[in-house]
Amino acid sequence: MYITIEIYKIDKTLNFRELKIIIIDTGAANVHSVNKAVIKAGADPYISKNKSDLRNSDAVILPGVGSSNSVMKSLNNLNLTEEIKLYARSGKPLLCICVGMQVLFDRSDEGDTNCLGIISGKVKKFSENMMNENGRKMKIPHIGWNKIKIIQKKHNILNDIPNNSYFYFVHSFFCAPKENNNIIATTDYGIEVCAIVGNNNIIGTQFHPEKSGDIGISIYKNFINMVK
Amino acid sequence: MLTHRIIPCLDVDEGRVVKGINFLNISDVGDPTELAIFYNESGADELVFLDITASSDNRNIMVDVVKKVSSEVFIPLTVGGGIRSKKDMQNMLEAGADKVSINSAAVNNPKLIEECAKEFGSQCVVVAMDVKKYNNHWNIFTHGGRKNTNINVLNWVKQATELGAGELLVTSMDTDGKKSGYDNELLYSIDELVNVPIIASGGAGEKKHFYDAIVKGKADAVLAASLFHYKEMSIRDLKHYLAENGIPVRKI
Repeated sequence: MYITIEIYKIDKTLNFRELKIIIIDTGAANVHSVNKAVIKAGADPYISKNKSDLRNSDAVILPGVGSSNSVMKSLNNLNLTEEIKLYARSGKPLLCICVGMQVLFDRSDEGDTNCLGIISGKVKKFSENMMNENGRKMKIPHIGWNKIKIIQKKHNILNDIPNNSYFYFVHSFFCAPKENNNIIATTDYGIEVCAIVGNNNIIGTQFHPEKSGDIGISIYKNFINMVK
Repeated sequence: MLTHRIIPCLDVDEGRVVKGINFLNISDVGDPTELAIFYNESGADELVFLDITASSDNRNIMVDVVKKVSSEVFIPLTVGGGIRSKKDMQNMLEAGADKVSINSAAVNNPKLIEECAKEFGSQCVVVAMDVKKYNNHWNIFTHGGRKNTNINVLNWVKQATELGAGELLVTSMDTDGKKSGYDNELLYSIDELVNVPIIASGGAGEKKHFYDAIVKGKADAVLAASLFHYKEMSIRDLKHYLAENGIPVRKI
């Protein structure tokens, strides 16, 4: 019996292409790049803005480029807001990227936006005139490759990802989770910034894995592997 | 800690990568996707593609180039050249560009910066500028460096960032192609005025020049073209040198 289950599991991970992975098309995001990165990671995703696709999927990715208010506006217009909240409660994996991560929280200072409230906490703007310890001006947006500090080593999204790996960040606002145990990894930008947030099946990355080279593709692989 | 980015710039004419040296003597150096793969493997932190296609009929070739490159290479792509409207920017973003740079069009219609920043977010709006000293002032030149606008760069960068530019790509025409170093005085003066990242361009000839642009010019990122294309310097060696000299760079 045990062996049968093991074989089933292995078989399942080898057949990424049979999984129904949905990339939500909010209209403004870099859906093209996320799609290509997920394909590179071995899956065959669908790009969709349909409620029913979301409901029948094995895993969902919410990419994000632009602003929290435009992403929320777009989700509201597509009638997807409640559907995503419902999906988040289903226990199936949800990966939210950059602004996609930011809208997971209760509220964002960007355009004073009410967000999804799936993870408690809020999103704030970096303060002007930040300096690092070497006196370097911490500019806004935070653009470029920065190291992550892994807080929760055993999290599945970080399988085979070494501490201090570099990822590509582009953002002017940052997430402040209410619960410390939702912080999976951080990065240093004058202040300690939440780089990966997680709550069971729900994961958000402030960086863009689809723009972070091979190590970024590994994040997608790990996410796909979370599909049970 | 945030690293300083090393960015190769690829000039694209009708779908092929070329490089103008001092805006003259163009010679073909290759296929955009192959070059992008090569630079990704060599440790480039980002790629800039500049469309220098003269005829507007052939502009959509660039959209295909961006689509192809972003399907194969998973590092940030900035695309510029001939972007005149919000729609042009949207086409590039949808094709897979992460940032779009606007140059002459932003000077002609500064409101374009604001419109694009509102629609797509400041983080993908790069304002590129060609700067040359004229009567002791740094002036903005447009139309591939042919037209003096008499706009002072220091006024322009303030206006551009207030309108929502998320990054500035500053090319000094005085140093470009000469391989004697970046215009660090210009870069430093701009850095004093704005709080967005600055990409230094024009003048790299040796490793020390990159170091100086970062330390003296306060540049966040450094861009070069022919130096990398003709393999006079490898990005790997450059990063090694910078790291040894205390500059944070992404290790490969």
